[in-house]
Amino acid sequence: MKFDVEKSALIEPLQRVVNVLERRQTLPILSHVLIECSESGIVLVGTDQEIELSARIPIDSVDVSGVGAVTVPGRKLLDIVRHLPEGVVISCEAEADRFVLRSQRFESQLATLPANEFPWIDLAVVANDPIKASGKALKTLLSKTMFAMAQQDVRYFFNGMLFEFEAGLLRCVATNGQRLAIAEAALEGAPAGSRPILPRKGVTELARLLDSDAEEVEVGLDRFVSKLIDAEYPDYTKAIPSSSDQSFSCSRNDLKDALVRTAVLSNEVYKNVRLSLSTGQLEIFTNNPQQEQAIEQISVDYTKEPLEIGFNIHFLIEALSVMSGDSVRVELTNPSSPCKLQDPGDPSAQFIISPMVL
Amino acid sequence: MKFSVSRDNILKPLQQVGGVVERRQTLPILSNVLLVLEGSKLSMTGTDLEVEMVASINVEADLPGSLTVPARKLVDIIRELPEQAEIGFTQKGERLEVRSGRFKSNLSTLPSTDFPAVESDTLIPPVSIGAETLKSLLDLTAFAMAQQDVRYFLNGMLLEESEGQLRSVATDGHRLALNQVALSAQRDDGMGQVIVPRKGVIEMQRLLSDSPDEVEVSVSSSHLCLSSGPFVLTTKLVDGRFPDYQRVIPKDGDKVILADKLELKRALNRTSILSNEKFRGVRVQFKSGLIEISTNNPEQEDAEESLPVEYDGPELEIGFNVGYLQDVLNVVRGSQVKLTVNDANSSALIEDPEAEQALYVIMPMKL
Repeated sequence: MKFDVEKSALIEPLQRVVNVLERRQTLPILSHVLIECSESGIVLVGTDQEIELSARIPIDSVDVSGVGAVTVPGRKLLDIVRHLPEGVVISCEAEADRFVLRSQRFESQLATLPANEFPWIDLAVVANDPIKASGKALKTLLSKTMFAMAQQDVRYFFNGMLFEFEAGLLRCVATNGQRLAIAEAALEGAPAGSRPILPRKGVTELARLLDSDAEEVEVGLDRFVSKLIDAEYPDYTKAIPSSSDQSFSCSRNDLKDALVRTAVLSNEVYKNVRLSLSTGQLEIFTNNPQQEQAIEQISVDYTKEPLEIGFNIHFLIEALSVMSGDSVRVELTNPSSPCKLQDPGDPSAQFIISPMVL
Repeated sequence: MKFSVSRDNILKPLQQVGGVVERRQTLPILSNVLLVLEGSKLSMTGTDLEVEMVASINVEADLPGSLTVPARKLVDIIRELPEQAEIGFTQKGERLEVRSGRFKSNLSTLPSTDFPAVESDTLIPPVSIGAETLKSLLDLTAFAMAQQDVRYFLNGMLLEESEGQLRSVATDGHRLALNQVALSAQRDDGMGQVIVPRKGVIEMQRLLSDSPDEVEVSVSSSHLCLSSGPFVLTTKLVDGRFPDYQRVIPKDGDKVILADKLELKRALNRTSILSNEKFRGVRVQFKSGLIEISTNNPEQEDAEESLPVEYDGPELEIGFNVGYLQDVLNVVRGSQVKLTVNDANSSALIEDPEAEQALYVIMPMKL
């Protein structure tokens, strides 16, 4: 295997692939990236056995003079490439069990492991044809919902995100059992009825990947492969409050800022906040075991009976932070039922938060 | 105690004071900031018993008084209030009420009499020095201080006033950095030698990065005081004898190499990736007009690079800890760097042609 490539063509794909590698791993080959060199260009692959990312360098930006495949330590290779001057050409060559990298007056040899030991994720069971989704739309779905995923919950299916495909529609759902975020977007050719659960790391890596290129991605598992969580996602629709007669709207930023301020003096363990609604006004109240307290009123368009309800203040702040409109609509029923937050101008996303007994 | 002040006037000084307060401490009062209102002057004090920072600002005073409140919570609340907001502070029994617009909070307090104050017995009259000058004095040497060394006097920086010069020296026993600046006047009763502890140095650097043109430094037998605008930083001194650094500076080096700083730094960055992760050794070969840098590691990986330099002496090979070389090259300001070496067993002297007062010594390493 032998090829010459410009630093600028190599660094970005390499960076993305190395991102997938775990810093500490049990198998040495899991710290390596696979480099496959063929007449059609170079493919770089990184895996942590849960997700696998392949990045392609097309043949028009690489000069291949010998084909082959080898694995090399990913982080070291990236460090070297990053520290080479901008615009240089890098020559790579695999000789016996060495990978030699040269550029100008710099020369290095890296240890290799054989390419046939690379632990590919078994893709034999992929049934669906690839679906094309707009990277931007997918990124929006993820950014609105991923905060609500659980972390290291024993209900392991909560440590991930439900991708619910319906005719012409993709819906992303995440919950930790106490709060729930739902966002949906139109998607042509979605395999209706399919409900895969993507694990937490797969979701965060996918979001990171979408940050860098906003064009189109193939959800048909061509370059980004993630194992799925093998479980039935619970029926989240039961958690969505249906009828709500007590609701109000207010400025999203005013509400968020008032919550952030009062959060300073909320209980450090329970993080609770008390919301008291009366005609035209919302009072936000926190206190802690040190007998400290904070209180702030904001104007809202509430007209019903006075109502008092408690929440985890961070669940409210996190939901308000990922929303985008100027105003927010909050729907409540009673002190023991969840509330629903929604942007009045954007019905595609909704956030449900369970109350706390104060 | 009762006063009001605009958010923008109190936030920055309070953040600077809060920066001294440690996140975890044994005494609850150490997480508090002391507020003292006298006349229209509010002074705010934070301490960790080693370093104390006081900031004084003018406020709309109503009732004088003093108390202590949790520093981090107060900073968090004030930061989250809208810009330009007018904030009212009122002592109510054992609480401090902080209110602004429709926001109101009550913070717990502890009595100001319990607050641990640093006794300030200034013996030496203060010396006035440019903030930029003092900052570069510290910045060029601070990286060489030891960390948690049993030789506790190395976990700090030596400041020495002699013959109208102020000198800073830091060493961890393997490398040494020295810098000096001229003071405006030569004093007979100068501050002599003092050792400022690591945290004191870091807080001085932090304060100086946002200081007016001139600052004042004074010392007592046990403390150093840095006054800058509305701030007074007081740090304890380390009670110990700093090693005789003059003995460490090599004087018999006869081989002088002049290299481009950036080229050398980048070549070291690249080759260091394949050095032994524990010992970080790099082999440097000096040849006529050229240096060759090479590394290898236990995985049998290796890297080498050569770069042209100004040198016409005999061939010589010296091993170094690459991290020590990188640290020096990171603070060197000029575009070139001057190395003076003698043999493979002697320390190397590094100088910055654009900051001639500064010098760096690095011990060699057996490879």
